[in-house]
Amino acid sequence: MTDEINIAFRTADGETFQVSGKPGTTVMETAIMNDVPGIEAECGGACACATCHVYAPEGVGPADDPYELDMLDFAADERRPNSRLSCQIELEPSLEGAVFQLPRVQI
Amino acid sequence: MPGAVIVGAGHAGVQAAASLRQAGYQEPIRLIGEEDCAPYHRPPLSKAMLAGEKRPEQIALRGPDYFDRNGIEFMPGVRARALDPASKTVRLADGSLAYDKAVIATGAGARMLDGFEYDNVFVLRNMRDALSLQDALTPGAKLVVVGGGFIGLEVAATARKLGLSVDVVEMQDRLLTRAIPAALSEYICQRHRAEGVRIHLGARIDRVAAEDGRIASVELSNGAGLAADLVLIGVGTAPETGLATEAGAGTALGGILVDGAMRTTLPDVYAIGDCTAFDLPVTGSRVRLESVQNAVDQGRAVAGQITGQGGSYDPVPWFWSDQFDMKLQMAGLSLPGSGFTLRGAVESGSFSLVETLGDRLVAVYSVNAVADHMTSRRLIGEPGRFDRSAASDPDTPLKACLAAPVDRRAPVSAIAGAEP
Repeated sequence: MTDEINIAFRTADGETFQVSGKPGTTVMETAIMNDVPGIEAECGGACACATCHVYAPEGVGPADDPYELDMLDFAADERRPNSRLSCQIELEPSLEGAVFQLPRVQI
Repeated sequence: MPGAVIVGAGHAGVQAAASLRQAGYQEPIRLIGEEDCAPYHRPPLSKAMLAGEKRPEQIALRGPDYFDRNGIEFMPGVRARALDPASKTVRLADGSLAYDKAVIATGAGARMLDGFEYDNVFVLRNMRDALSLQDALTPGAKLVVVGGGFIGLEVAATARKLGLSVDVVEMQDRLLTRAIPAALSEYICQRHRAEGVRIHLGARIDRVAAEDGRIASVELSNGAGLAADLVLIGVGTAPETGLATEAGAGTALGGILVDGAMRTTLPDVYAIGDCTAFDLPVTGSRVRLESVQNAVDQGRAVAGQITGQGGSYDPVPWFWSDQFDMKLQMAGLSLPGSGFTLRGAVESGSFSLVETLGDRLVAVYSVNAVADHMTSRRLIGEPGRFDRSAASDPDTPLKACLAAPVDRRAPVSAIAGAEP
């Protein structure tokens, strides 16, 4: 059994959800599997809807995929330098303990 | 007990259940799913999951505890046999469920072709289809795809990536006839051919040669013979309307007819998703849409109606398809008599076809042009004159091509400009 990686989501209201997922699972999938509110992920990870927007902690690099960069312009809440689509971030050991901030709205 | 009974646990049905709870619906919700697995996203079945890049649990629509936590009774592996609008019950194989509101979200099933009942013939619609097709996609195997639509082309692309030899047989003289303009069909055809997919246009299968219950080869109407280790039939879908029509609901375009409030012609019976037909305000036409957008938005809409908060359903339809390195995204629906403007250079692999009718923006078909797609979803249906010649310059944002309509409430001086 692979060790799971622990991450957290903090909602715009300050509520925190501690969750874990297998390496290779995306941050979006981890949120969905744990029923974290505030991640819609309508398209299921195809980078086609911008409804899994998160503000990433330090240590998670900025988006470099051109689709993701373009999609972030259309996220429902404010785009910031650390904005990412959580379907494009895979869990890896370096993310242990990472806290992702959720935007106020996704749609 | 009554409350809401939702028949069908695809994207539309699950969204309806979730949105009902989000809207504060306090009554019981029962969600019946014919498949015996947890509800999942369908699009990856022909792409990431088929390719083995995602495991089934990674494409779940909700986590394993979601339904319990939200007071939704999810009933997998259950088939609704009949709906009786007089007694307001849904009959199951054993017993029945009484409802205050019924929501039919039964989706559509893959169409099969007569004469193809062999062990190595597949369709792709649900999780079980995907898992058995995945098993058969072994490197070096020869796949014949019947039908050059989205499912056929997505499977062709995935199969090529996995190292299969792939032939696609399409009856029409171009690919994706119903969904996209001819110029884009041509581009997609070229990209598939460049990736080694053999595309046979204007051809049908005249004969199959079978051994031991398996197709070994097929013969095309143009005389070509194709060896086959497996065959995928991708010739569209048929809406699952039986439950509604046997109860006496009205139909249109092969789907269950609903109004802007998702109501069928039966009292307290709604229908949402792929199984429905309805009048689409933005085009002024009656349509049946098979898409994630329509499933999700109608799921939200029906919840709004049942909880008394809903307006009329008035979306801009949008779709996507991923094939090889092409992210194909479409917004709006084609209208007869319209014209197309190319935006960007086709050779660059990133461009859009902009469809207009007079000075109205009708639809935008994008290849690797995400900003065009997302912008067009907001612009289509907005008032104002759309300048298609300005749209031909990819450096002019699409938004700038729509002239804002004159605000009639503004003071005259603001419209006239300078003060005297």
